[in-house]
Amino acid sequence: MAARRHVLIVDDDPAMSDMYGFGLERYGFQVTVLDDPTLLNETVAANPPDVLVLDWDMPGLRGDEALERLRMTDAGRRLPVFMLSNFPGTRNGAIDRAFAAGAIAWLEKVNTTPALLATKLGEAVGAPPRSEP
Amino acid sequence: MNASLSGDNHELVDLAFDAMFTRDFADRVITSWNKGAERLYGWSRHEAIGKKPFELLASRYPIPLEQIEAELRAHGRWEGELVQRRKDGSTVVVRGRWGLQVDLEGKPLAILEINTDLTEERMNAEQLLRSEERFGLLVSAVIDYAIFMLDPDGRVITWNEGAQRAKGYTRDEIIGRHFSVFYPPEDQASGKATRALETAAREGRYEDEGWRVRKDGTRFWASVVITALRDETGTIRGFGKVTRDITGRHDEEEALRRHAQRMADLEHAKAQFLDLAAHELRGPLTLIRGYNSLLEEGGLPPERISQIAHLLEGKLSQVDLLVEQMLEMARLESERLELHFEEFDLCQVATDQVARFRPIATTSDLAMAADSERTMVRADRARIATIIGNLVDNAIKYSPKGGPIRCAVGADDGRCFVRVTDHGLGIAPEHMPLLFKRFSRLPTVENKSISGTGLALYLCQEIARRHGGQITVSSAVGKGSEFTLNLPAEGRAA
Repeated sequence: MAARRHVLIVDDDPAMSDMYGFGLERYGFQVTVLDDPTLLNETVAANPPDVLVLDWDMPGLRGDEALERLRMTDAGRRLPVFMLSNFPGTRNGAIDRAFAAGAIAWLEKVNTTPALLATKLGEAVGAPPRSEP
Repeated sequence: MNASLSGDNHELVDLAFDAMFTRDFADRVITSWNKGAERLYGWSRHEAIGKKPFELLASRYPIPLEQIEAELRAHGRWEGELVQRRKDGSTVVVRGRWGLQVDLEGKPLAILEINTDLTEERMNAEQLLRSEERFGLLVSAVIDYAIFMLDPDGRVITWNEGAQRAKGYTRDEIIGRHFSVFYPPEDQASGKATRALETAAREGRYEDEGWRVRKDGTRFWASVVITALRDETGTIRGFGKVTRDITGRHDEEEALRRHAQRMADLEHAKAQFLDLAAHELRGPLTLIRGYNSLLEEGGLPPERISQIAHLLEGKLSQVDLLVEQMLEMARLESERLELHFEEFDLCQVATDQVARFRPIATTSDLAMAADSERTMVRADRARIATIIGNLVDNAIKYSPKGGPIRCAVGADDGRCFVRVTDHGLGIAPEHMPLLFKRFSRLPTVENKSISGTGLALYLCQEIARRHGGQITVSSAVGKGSEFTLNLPAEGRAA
């Protein structure tokens, strides 16, 4: 059996990371949660995940800013990154900026159930979703 | 040689337009008289010949006749204006061009008088003079426009009543001064007056609207036209300046412009609010949909269901509150907000709200102040409860590090008050004006993680005002805030 894929969820709203974290664990991921985006680089370096899920609108650091900083570190250079946010992607060119910073997807939370997120993450990092009885 | 205009040259002389006649030099009697003279004076040739001109025509000379004759003797000619009388008694002004006929020895024989009628020309000139006077009077009497002239260097050379009224200077005070004194100091410094004259000189005219300064230093909004005045050779002789005080119109335009700006700002704020409201709704919807999908798949372990149900209940309340605020807003905007007055104990309502919020005040110590007492008030109970709830909720939200939150109720001088005091983030003085503005949230870093639509305090204040009360704030950054709702105890006639 393949090793469980490790997801790091960065979101300042604990209700969100609780739900997605709970769901992703159910689908076979190992989940770490971070509520302070300014600690992203240290967190990734200390315990490198296989894939990163980033919120956009957070106090202190916006999603693309956190991602740009991460891309300058060894541990974060090639990490696949999903943006997951309810921020309107077309406003202020948010989606464009996310992709320019190196994100591979922009998902709207309101349309993304934990099951859908698990499927998308699995497609990206190759861990087949595992359904629990 | 005969001194008369006779024979062949009679007809020729008759063709002349001017009055022509000759008179003997020695005895001054008329010896010939042409058709022009008959036309001008009304006397026929027969009537005139043999008469002396100064008797027949009552000629008045500009200098004594003897002097004229001396001139003729010396130079052979004389020119001057004389006033004469026609046969009908009317007066005629003529320009005389007289010549002297002499014999071979140079002895004077006769005087040829050629007199040109100046009456019409003179009348025209007088009319012109009078019309210029009238025009001058007109200009000087105009009171709605400052109309005056500048010399080529820009010094004031004429002044009218309107100029005195608009600018406050009397004629004596301003004549000879440069017109740049009418400009505000900043325009004087930048040489605006000089540029205006240069433009007028170059393009013929200069138009401007702008602030001008009266003698007493007050400003008015002026509409100004400067016109270059040139003589027939094209040389600038000066400038005509017409100035009108249109401060009133300017103020109206300014008010309209401000109103339009306010409307545009409001539209912008509304669009922002809708964005924010959408965002605020999507958060709870995300959680509801997410947990619902897990529930559907049977993925929720029973031991978590109670906690998740509690979370979702809270999120549903948020949605409910937001929708309620939007409805209240719509009622306020369309003036359909009806208050339902009843008498109740303000302290009881506040105590209920404090009890309601205590469960979510996980880090703060939330309680009623010890000296709160039963305080009867006449007001809309549900709405006052909402206001107090909002003030308590805000105190909790903006005290992320906890600290005591106290709600005090009392009465003072016919007015009741509810005061909510926290030891939270506090509000910067520059953010105070935004506090009760609709759709506005304070642009602070903390606010990114504290949910809100920027509607609650606006609605609270509006509803307090409709009760004849108000909400006041005192606050210091890092120390906390104190919000006070005060209401007239007797209520206000709805």
